[in-house]
Amino acid sequence: MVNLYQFIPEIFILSLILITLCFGLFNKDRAVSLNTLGFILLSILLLNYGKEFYSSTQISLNTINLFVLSKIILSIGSIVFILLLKRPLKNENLYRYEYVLFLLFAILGSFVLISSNNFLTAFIGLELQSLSLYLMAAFNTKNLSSNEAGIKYFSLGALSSGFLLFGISMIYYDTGSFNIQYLDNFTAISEIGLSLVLISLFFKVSAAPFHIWTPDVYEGSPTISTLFFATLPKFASLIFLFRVYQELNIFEIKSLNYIFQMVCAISLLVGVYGAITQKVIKRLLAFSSINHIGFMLLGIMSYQFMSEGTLFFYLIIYLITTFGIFAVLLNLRTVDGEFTKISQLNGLRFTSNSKSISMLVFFFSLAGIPPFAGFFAKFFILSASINDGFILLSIIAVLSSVIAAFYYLTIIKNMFFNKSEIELLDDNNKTGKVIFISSGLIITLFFIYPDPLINLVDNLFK
Amino acid sequence: MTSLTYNHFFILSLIVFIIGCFGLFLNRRNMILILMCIEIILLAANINFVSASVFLNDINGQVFSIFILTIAAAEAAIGLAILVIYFRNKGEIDITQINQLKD
Repeated sequence: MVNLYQFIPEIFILSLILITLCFGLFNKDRAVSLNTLGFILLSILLLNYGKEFYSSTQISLNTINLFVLSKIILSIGSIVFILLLKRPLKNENLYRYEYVLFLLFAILGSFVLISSNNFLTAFIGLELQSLSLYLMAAFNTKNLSSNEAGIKYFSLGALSSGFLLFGISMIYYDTGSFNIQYLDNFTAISEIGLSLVLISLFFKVSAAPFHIWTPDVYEGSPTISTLFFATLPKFASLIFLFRVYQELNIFEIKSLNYIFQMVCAISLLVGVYGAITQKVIKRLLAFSSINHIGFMLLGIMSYQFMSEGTLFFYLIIYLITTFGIFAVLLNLRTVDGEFTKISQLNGLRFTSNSKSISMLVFFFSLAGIPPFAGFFAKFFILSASINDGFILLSIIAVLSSVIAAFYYLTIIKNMFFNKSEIELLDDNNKTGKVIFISSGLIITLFFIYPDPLINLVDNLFK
Repeated sequence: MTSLTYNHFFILSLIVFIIGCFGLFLNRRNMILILMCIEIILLAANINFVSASVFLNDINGQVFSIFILTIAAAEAAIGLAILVIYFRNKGEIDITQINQLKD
């Protein structure tokens, strides 16, 4: 029995889109701030009534918790993103309310994707998400590299949705159904189809060897769009990948399990080796995100031991850290425009104390150095994966994070001990400052007071 | 006279799919060709959906193919829009010249 009640979060965002479209005609500033209010309302709604929305359906309690928690994370992330986007867009003369519309469509797509039980809705959600992302990449219409990022993202992304569709069509012929929950008894045809679907999802989360678009798109797009690519849509695609892995029991299908493990290992290695030689900060962050995707895939594979909590904890910490790093980057400018090179971070300590110390916290956390939350995230993932018997993958993961520590620490050394080459201007954006300082505090204080975050993750998966 | 089975349609769609993929990778000149190849790939999936739906006697595949058609139209529109803004800045749409972003 289909009940409209379970679509309330999606309907809420859809009505927000319509209101923004009407409102944007008269007052674009208000249209943007209206959305902050809208997402605050949505997250309160989800926090209080989230589980009741799905109570009339036959979805298992665990999956309902997964839906609700990931939707809460997505809406809180959107609040932070909307608060951040105003100043960077104004600096580049791009401030239009349409940008928020693309954001809303992408979030709507993510919501649909997360809660889809059916390949049809998953496809529509994924397309809604990625079509808005292509536009966000090319949003700086006057800038050639932004256009180029858009073209590259579009052509490769469209190819990957072609793979997804062909894979779904093969599964459909074999099993006669699109429903994820009731698929079993795979033959060779649907295994090939499923591997095509997995390839497409790996592309969306930018796992190596399907990562070719990532560095280029990250570098070319406006920095604020890069922040979006690195966080929320990737999170949603990863949750869907997790659901596919869980619902279809991929660990029982040998060939697909091999693909999963190979992709995990290659992502871990490509992420670190690619990053070592990079000179542009956004490319470095792209490769570092590929490395982290490797960790997340390890978390997906080893969910049997520690349940979804491990993966979620890693994802939350990753999101907070990425938001923090980009909030710092968006707050810095050189005299001739946006700053891009890693070497321009040299001597950041002399420009701004709060920024350099927050960056120190974020990079230490990404490298997994003990008192910071990133260490615990990596620790949980590794202990779960060792308990599940992925010894070789865990060794690769540890080695890769050792190599990754090299380039994170180099940046920190340059920030604190080198002389600055170029004068960095402080943008003095208050909201950006609040965001990076508070995410820095969360990452640091987790060590002293871990209960809230652990409880949040634990309670939802009982 | 042999009758048509699902396998004929499947092989047809597979051939169309491979033509699309190869077109995407071997094409060395024009961006428009990339858009056309993407349409061909989506078409291959459509052929497979419709034929599977006929042979399985199940309407869902045809519903899916209608959805694919609409989304392919949206995708083509967005691709062309991005291409137009690129052309405005660069003055050409040669693939070999898309090399602003690299190591």
